[in-house]
Amino acid sequence: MGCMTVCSKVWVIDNEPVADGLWRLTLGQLSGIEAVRPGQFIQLRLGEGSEHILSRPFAVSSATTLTGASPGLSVTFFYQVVGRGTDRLARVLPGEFLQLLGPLGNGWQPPPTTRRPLLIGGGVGFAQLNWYADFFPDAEEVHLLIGARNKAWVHALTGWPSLYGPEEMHDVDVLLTSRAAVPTKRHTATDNGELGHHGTNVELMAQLMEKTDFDYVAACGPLPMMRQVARLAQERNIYCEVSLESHMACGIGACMGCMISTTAAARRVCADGPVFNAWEVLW
Amino acid sequence: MSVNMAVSLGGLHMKNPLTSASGTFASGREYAAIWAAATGGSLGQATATGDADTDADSALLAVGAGGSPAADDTGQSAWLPLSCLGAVTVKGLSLNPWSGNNGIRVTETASGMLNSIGLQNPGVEAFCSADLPWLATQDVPVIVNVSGHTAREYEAVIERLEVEPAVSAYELNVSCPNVDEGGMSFGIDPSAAAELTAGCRALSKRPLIVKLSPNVTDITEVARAVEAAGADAISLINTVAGMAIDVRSRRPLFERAVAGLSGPAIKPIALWAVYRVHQAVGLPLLGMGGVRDVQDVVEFMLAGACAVAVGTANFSDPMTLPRLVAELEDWCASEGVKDIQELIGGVGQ
Ligand SMILES: Cc1cc2nc3c(=O)[nH]c(=O)nc-3n(C[C@H](O)[C@H](O)[C@H](O)COP(=O)(O)OP(=O)(O)OC[C@H]3O[C@@H](n4cnc5c(N)ncnc54)[C@H](O)[C@@H]3O)c2cc1C
Ligand SMILES: Cc1cc2nc3c(=O)[nH]c(=O)nc-3n(C[C@H](O)[C@H](O)[C@H](O)COP(=O)(O)O)c2cc1C
Repeated sequence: MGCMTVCSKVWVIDNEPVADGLWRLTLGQLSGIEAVRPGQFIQLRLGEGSEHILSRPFAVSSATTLTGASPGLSVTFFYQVVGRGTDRLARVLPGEFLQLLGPLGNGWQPPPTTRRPLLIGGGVGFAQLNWYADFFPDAEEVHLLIGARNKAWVHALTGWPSLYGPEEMHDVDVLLTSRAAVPTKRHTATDNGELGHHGTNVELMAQLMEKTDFDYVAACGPLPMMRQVARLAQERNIYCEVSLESHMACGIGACMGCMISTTAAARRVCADGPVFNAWEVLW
Repeated sequence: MSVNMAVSLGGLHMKNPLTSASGTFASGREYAAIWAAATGGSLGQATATGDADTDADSALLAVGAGGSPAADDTGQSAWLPLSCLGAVTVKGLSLNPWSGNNGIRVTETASGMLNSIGLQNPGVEAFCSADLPWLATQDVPVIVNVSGHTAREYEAVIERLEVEPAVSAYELNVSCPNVDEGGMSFGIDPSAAAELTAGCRALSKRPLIVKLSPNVTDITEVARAVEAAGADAISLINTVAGMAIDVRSRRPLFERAVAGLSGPAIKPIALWAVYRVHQAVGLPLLGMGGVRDVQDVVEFMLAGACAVAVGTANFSDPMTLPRLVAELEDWCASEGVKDIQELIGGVGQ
């Protein structure tokens, strides 16, 4: 089962715009929650009262343990303002309290033998992959690939710029050492060509696959992107996981609101996912 | 002051008037786990975040006060979270598995939500083997919500459940807007509703609740028909028919176009329905529709409800039910209500 799901009020440490239409939210003192794994998500209630009665699901993009006077877990999310709920969230101020339910969902489950994983994200879907990259201590090298609309999004979602030399290096493989001391290669594609490959992350993935023998692919992003990534991976017989989205209500597996079709059966995105074996998803 | 919180819903003894609304609560396991986590050490720490956590605090007290102790595997006593409720009403069950509707199934609306689940369920047999044995150990009455495409299917579900001692009562869902055959088609036609009720009545002595739809011209007509056909109680309301449109694709958001509206947005509609049906029939009523706080519960009871179900509010805050159990008793005590039954139908003219 993993870590217990807890419903509690947590305080907003930070909530700020980091690129056009993209925000970063940091919540503090989740002291009821012991641990969160990459790929898990939380349900966040958008204020008190009855204006927004459904919580919104957001993937955890990183988690840190705070020590000192107010210990506990702190989690960060990146979100895109797309509708009424996320617009409300963008107006929440540091110091306010929000109701959080989590951690939820299964998280990524890479094969333990993974040597050369490719973690590919599209837009805000990339947010959690930087963190996930730290979870391959036994890999030879970890490949991270972001596709985003422009340079500002890449900078905001990756935190890479300070680590880079000249900007041109974005389209070559940059060898860096991650915290886990596993070499990490970082690849960028932008829609407007401001950084890295001018085009989609899927195009860049296809190019990379000519050079590198990936043995695992994890994808998070818009559905059409994940579908294409899954097809590319399957063509080469590479095990692939995808993190799916679906409208959901309860977030804990009770309401049957977020079903998706798989070769096995209909599955709940919230409780059976959100990470699924891409080969089993009926795209 | 100690308050008598118990009510009898058409022969079903409930230690307090609160239950879950069918379909929002599955068979209770998911919520039980969260309520149990809240009573563990973890929430105790979480409440340390300060004043903002009064909800969780009172919920913690609620489960602590209302749940029953039971021995777990290690011989230590554990709390049975669901036992704080008057009853658990489980997800709609049909004879055979139903896969439910395709496409988007839920979305938020202003102070409410639309759903088009389509009564997805694994069928009565799977419920009896997977969920009922667990429910039987939870020290709480179980109301099974029954669905079917045909009257015969409703009857077959009841026949199968009659041999299960863990089932306490039936709630016939003749009011779901999200399926083509069966469901609401029975509930909008008084004679069809009566016929179905009579058929099921003949099969069981257990309390038989019939769940009505607000999507009719005169809900009291259907209420009178099922009363005459032998129902023990009436539950109301099921969701209100509605829709949403995706402006980008210019298509209905839900594949069947229609979906069911629930949550605070429908409370006035539900309250009015309870009030009118209470005046029209002598049966006890299970009121629901947008309940989220104690004031809502009391309003439903004053309008004529004997018991009250909470649905969509579980999604807003999974601790809603245990919190309401505690707060309702506190409210009665502070208002000098000695027996909660005093409230039923107590609204003045
Ligand atoms: C497991 C999971 C993880 C997610 N992680 C992130 C994240 O890290 N960052 C991020 O920006 N977004 C994420 N999303 C999507 C995010 O939940 C939606 O963008 C958000 O719910 C939209 O709310 P809204 O009110 O602004 O939009 P509206 O379109 O106004 O919402 C109306 C209703 O539709 C639902 N809805 C609309 N779009 C989505 C969607 N894509 N997924 C699920 N429900 C939706 C809303 O919850 C709401 O009930 C995630 C979704 C899931 C399921
Ligand atoms: C997701 C969802 C699923 C539901 N499933 C059922 C069901 O299976 N059977 C049924 O009789 N009512 C079902 N309902 C209706 C509720 O039980 C209840 O009548 C209605 O939602 C109004 O109460 P609320 O506003 O508290 O949710 C469902 C409602 C929702 C929101």
